Amino acid sequence: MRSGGVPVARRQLLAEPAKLLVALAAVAAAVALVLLLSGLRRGLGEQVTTYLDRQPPVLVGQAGARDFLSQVSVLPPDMVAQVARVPGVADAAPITEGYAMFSLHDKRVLALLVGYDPGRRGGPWQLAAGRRPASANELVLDRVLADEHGLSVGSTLRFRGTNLRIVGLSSGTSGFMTPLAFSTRATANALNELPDTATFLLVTPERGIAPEELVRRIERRVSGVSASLRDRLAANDRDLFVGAWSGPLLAMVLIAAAVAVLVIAITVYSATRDRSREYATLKAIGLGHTALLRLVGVQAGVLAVSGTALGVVLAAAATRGGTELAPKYLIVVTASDIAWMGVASLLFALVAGLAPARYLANLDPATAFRR
Amino acid sequence: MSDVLLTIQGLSKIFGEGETRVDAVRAVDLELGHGEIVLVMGPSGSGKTTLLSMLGGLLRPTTGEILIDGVDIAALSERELPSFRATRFGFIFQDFNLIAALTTRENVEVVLNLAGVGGKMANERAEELLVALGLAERLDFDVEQLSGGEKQRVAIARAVANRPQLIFADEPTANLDSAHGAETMRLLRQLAKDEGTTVVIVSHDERLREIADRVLWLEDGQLKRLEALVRDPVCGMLVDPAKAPARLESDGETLYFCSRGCRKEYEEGSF
Amino acid sequence: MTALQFSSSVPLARRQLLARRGRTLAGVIGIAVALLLVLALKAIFAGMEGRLTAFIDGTGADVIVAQEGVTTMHMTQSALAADAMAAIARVPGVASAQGIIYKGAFVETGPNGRSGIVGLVGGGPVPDLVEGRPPRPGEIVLDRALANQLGVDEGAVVQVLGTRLRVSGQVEGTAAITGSFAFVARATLEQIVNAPNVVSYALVRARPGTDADELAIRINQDVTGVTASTRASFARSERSVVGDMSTDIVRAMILIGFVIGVAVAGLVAYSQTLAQQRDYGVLRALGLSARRALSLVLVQVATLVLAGFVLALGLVGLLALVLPMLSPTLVLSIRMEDVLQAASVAGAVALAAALIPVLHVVRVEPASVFRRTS
Repeated sequence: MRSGGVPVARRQLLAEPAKLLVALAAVAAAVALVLLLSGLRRGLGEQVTTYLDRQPPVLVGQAGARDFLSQVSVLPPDMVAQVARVPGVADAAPITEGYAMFSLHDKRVLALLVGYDPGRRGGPWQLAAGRRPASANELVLDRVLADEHGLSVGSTLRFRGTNLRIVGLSSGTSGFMTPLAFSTRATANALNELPDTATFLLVTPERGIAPEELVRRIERRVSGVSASLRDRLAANDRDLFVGAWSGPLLAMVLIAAAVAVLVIAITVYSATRDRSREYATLKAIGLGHTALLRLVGVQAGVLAVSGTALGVVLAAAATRGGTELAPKYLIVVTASDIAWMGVASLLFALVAGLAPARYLANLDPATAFRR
Repeated sequence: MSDVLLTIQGLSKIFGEGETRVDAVRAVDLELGHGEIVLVMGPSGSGKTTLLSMLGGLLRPTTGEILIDGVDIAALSERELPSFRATRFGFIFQDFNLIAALTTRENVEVVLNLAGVGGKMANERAEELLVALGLAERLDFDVEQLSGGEKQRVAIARAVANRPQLIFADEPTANLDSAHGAETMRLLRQLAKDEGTTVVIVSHDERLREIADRVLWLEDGQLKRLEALVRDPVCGMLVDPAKAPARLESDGETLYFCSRGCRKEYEEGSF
Repeated sequence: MTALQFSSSVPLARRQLLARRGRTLAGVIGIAVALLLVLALKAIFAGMEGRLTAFIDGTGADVIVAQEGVTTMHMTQSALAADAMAAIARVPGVASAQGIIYKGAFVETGPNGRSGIVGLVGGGPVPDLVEGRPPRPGEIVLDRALANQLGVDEGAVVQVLGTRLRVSGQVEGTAAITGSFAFVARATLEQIVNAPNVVSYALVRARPGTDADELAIRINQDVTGVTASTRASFARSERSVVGDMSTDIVRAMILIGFVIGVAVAGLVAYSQTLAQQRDYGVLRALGLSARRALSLVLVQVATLVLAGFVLALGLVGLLALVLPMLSPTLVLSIRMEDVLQAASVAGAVALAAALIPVLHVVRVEPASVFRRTS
């Protein structure tokens, strides 16, 4: 309706507050679902690279090593030495890392176990309790994971036939499917029955040497290895880990969008049908077809936009609540996600507004005079 | 008239309390006989609908008794009332109040179902009634497709389906043209005389006085015999002489007016 | 009058539902979609589980021996000590013990070519080939889905950790969204991972007449540093990885699906009831008891939810049919237990959704019939 006039659209929406609330709740739930799922996916992507993000800019693995997490890479001791001798390498710290499928409380818990040489790079960067691993079969475990399973400094964890004693808890290392655990490299190698090997070298370039240049140099001088930029490996990990979920995620997002459209359509359509008499009267007293459609459009738009706003609030609350209840999940909702939802919600309104349009077009103003 | 079917004693209905208190019906006493047609008239807001609702067991009185064949329906529980209504009463509404989702036949059938008659029996009874009312061609129509007169006949068929002792009709002719109105009146009269059904009609329609055995006047929640009322010589409204806001002695006769305005008009000689 | 008699008469609930077909249909679809959230997610995970154990199921091994404490294969590292194979072979009842190596690896067409992640099995039995022959040293068998993704065929050369391998054949049915299986000769994989004589798992066949459970127990007793599981229990454990990892997400989805389902079903039932408020008043005046009015609403909601549930089943069935065609790694598997779970969610939805209109209908006064429509 024209501004300054009687707010017919608003009055009609507010005439049935219960229905309005339920419709808003449904739209909000759908919107929150989309935001949370994509936020979870993004959070997963960030968590996947938690370890790499803290490492020097160049990593060296076995030839063909394209990512950090998903494949095996074995570097024999002589290769470690060869890389260390490449000019421009300030430091090449060997680590032995790999997935560790812990069995805790009869549940499988996946972690990334990093074996590093004490005193060199690659270990935990922040300890919440205890100390770093120094000798065989000592373990530093992510604090959140430890809390979740009632483990603390002094606890013992049986893994691959070995009793690992928890000597410290690290913070800033949690994640769903990739929380971190640290041991000495010797411990990790013993578990793999591969003494003296490493999976990756964490390479720090000398001052003034660009990481890209160092990557080229290493690949040229040492055969049988792949040198990569840390960020490249991280991106590959993210793609692999998060990309796998794109299909199912898209399916869920589409389902949620369908829910939102449907709910708005049901609400607007039923409101229109239930007020067919009022609409007929409005038509009879001279409201044009376009104005009628605008009336419905405004209702659909208000539902969509306020449902989306509520959904954003809901998602924010769920994100906060989720962080409290289950800190291993990181949900990252960005402003662009919200902006996209806003655009999508207008689209929802447009589609949903079409539901009663045909009905309104065919509405006979004369019904206003019928009993 | 024959023996008494319905006895009302001291029937009152009060809505709200304190400043918002409204005495919709005040201490009404009334007796209705079998097969009697009673027309209740009165101005808007006089309590007609409240009275009808109480008689029909739809609204609980504040005080008083409604005895039907010795049963006080005001004392029946919420569990007992619905089946009592279904078997003893028939309702005819101004807006017909047919169930839009059901067909013509089903609208009649459903009240038979409610009274415990189901299946083929209900189906046939509904058909028989509708055919008798000239709706043979409309049995499986959506009720929305029917004309006003047809809708009213469906409503009448529905009201009589369970052979009720009492029919309550609320403005049964208000939404009908004169021909259909007359038809409805004929049907109601036939019902009362042939079947011995007592009919209580609430209406503004003066034509209904023709078929009524008794006409009652409800005003301010109190019943008056219409014979006790006099007509305003100016506007034609019925006025209670005891409460008339204006009166005038003229040629040894007392004239009663609905308002001073009418008396003034009379005095100014426009009549 | 009994409810049965009533239902044999005018089908009031059905008529009321059908009176507003568009709205009823929208409601059914909405509920179906909400339930689909739960069903589809469970089916996706169930499909993954099936694919994860495709290899294990096909090995024909009676007992699978892994490093102590290890009962899974996917995303798992297992290394048997050098003397373990000989020790296993000596356990009474063991007919044969085959050592296999299992490693996660990238298969790529070139340093900058297309790539895909695989669980690389060296030395084990290769599932039924749909094309080509089992791998000889220097060769690899890929899942058809991965081969298509990489755009390679039999005879093409791919790289794994810098080693060039010729594609000798293709298998089917091992590809999940998390990756597929690929097969090479054991010597090839030993060479690739620079680790001779370290096997990941031993596939053990029992002598005729030896019970698998019995044999697993015996191996666990006789050989130190290993964990032996029957194939069935190993597969169960492998499947539980997916279940354990996805529990929280599934729970969250069930909650959200429930909320949306309740909101949609409640909305439709409520607006349905609201639109029929006058009808309810009339029916109450005509002698419909309050209890029956309630059951009328309940039947409508229940029908709505039931129809939504059936539609959701149909939709997830359709997805299970269509999605694998679009993406061969996305397999949906519909399990009875998941259907039952969705059904219980649907039941809860119906109960919660019915509350909204029920509260409304209870308040409908029969006397309202005399009020004029306006």
